[in-house]
Amino acid sequence: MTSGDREQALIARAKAGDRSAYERLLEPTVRPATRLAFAMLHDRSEAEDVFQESALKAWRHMRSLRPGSPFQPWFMGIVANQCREVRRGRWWRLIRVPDVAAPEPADETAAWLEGEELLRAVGLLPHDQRVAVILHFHLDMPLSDVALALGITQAGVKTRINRTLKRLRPAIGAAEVKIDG
Amino acid sequence: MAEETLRRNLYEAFDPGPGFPNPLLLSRTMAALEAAEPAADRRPSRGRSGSPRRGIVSLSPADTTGRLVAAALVLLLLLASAGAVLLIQHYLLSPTPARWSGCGGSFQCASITVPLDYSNRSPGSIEIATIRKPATDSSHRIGSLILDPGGPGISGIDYLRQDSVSYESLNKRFDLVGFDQRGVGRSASVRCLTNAQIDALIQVDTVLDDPREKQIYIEASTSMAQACEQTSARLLPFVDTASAARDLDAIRAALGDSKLTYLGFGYGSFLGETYAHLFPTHVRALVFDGVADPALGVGDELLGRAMGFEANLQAFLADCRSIAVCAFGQAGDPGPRLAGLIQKLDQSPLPVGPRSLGGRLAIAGLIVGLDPRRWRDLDGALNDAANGDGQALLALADVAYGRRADGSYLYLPEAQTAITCVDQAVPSDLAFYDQLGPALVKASPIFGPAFQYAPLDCSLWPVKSKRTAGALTATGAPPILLLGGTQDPSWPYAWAQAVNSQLARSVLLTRNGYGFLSYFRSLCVSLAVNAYLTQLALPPAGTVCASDYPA
Repeated sequence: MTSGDREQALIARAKAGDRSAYERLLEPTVRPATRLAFAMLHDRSEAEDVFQESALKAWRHMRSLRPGSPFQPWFMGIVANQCREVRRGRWWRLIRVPDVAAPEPADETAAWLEGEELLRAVGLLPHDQRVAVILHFHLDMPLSDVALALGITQAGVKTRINRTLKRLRPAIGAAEVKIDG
Repeated sequence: MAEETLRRNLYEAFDPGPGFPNPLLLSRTMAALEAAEPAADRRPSRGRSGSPRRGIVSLSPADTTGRLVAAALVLLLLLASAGAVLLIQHYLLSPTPARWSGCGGSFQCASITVPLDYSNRSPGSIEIATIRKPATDSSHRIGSLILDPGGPGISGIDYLRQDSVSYESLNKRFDLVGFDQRGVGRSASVRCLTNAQIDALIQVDTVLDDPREKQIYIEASTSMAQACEQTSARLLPFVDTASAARDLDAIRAALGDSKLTYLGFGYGSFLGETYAHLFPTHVRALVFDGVADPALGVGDELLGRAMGFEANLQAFLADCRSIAVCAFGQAGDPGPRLAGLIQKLDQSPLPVGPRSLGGRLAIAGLIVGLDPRRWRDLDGALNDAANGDGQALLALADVAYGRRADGSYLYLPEAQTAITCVDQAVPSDLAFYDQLGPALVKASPIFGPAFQYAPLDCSLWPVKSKRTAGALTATGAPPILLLGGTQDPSWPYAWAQAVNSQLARSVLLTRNGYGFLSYFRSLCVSLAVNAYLTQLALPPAGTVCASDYPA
């Protein structure tokens, strides 16, 4: 029995209402899911709340997990959506991202942003782009799983990530600057 | 591989720290799941409405801008400040290296001895407490970056301890340095009031509608002045900003830097302007976020701020009218409702536990809540207050005054008053303030009257300022970077423009938008500032940055 088979067996049991099977599915997601939520929300306690809330949602909707699909990417998608709800509540419409001007062609040799600037730049990304970057680069999730989590094609993920990367270089500062007369 | 660097940077930036997630999270989640669905019944449960609700007002200690903003504000309700350059003989201090010793974490602390009176050494010396966090990339270290959180009266030491993480990238190549300005905190300080006395002081109404209120205000100001004269008479004449600027130069020398690199917020801009004017050849790079205009008279300063806060208030109200989720706007136009609420609280303060929320504290809470990032908090707080619960609005007012949950204060009004009053000469004639009324009311029916008599306490202060308002030119200094927010209520954009024309060489970087100060409100601004501080690369004149948030 492969690990994939074992997981599918657990999923089947969980769908039938077996909580202990569900707990075993959930266990390996605790770390990546809370890290995703923390990266999205910058608040440890909110991140843990999001995990809990997502776990309840996922439990209620286990049947909507397509047969043969892995659990974790699906669950991470739920966590990402839950983060969006929390941020909506918290920032309300301030979350609307400013019109970051079309970025200059990124200088491939330029450094990436770091520290709190990187944090803020990621925070300014549209929700889906932010999730894609965090899942792929922060949580090392393969593009195929990111696609499952976001419910889009792998090509779509690539496009999204490529578009996003240009915003995570210091050139973003120059790109945002508008010169008055 | 470039992406590896990104991965590493993300990992560091998003590090939640140790003990995360809580090891019990999974078991708690499973318990919650069982509680939500007691039987094997798998129907969606409506019983559990979600994660525990937090309080409406978030007073996160990590709210950097909030603290800076609050700092800029306390002064505003107590007294607005401009500044002073006393033409005192400048004594060069011998650059004795400070003796640093570890003081928790990666911080080092030192005390620097400076003359009490720079024009006359005989009165002796005082100590200036400093703290630093050494550069993390020591092989590329540039020097020290002195941070001033403004106020005046905020401890730069506390500020650095709490917020050094906000300057992580600058900390790579700079030692971050904070200090308590003379008169403040761990340096020779002006301490005259107990926490309970401050509680009482900040409840004294500043909207002086009738002779009785004027009398109460004058009595409160007089009693603070007398208390400070008793405890701090020796220090009071020497807490002026010009002396603080000389202390700053002593700190620079003790740090071993040949020139000063400095980032000052709000009042910190005035200290920086004064420094540049006194020591133009000692400047490497100065950034002023929220720019004080030293040429401004008392009346114009009050008017500028009343207009600034009114504009921010109108933006909040317009937003509240335009969206469905604004609770305070549900029961009628929020504008008249707010005016009515403030008036009602002014007449009969709302009890909040053992405390009470009157007009002055309500306006202080309003001022803090006008930060676009707190609009939701403000909406909830106003709605609660209109429904008889003043707790959330009082919590916002506590942010303004730096009042902690235990009743102690983060910054002390007496230090602010002491510094402001020796910096700024004010008329002592009540009629002067009376005649400001119509223009202030016109500028802002709520804020105008609240600010109108604020400077009066300096007229009752035991030490009178010898300074006259005037431009500072800093001739001979290298370019200085000014940050101005187009709708900054506390440090109006017009002041930044004025100083831009006063300072011999300065570049004004503009941020479009509401809210106090700019460095933490715009990634575009902070990147430009960091580039200037590290590489001395200035943004082109006329550069305009967007705010990170739309408002």
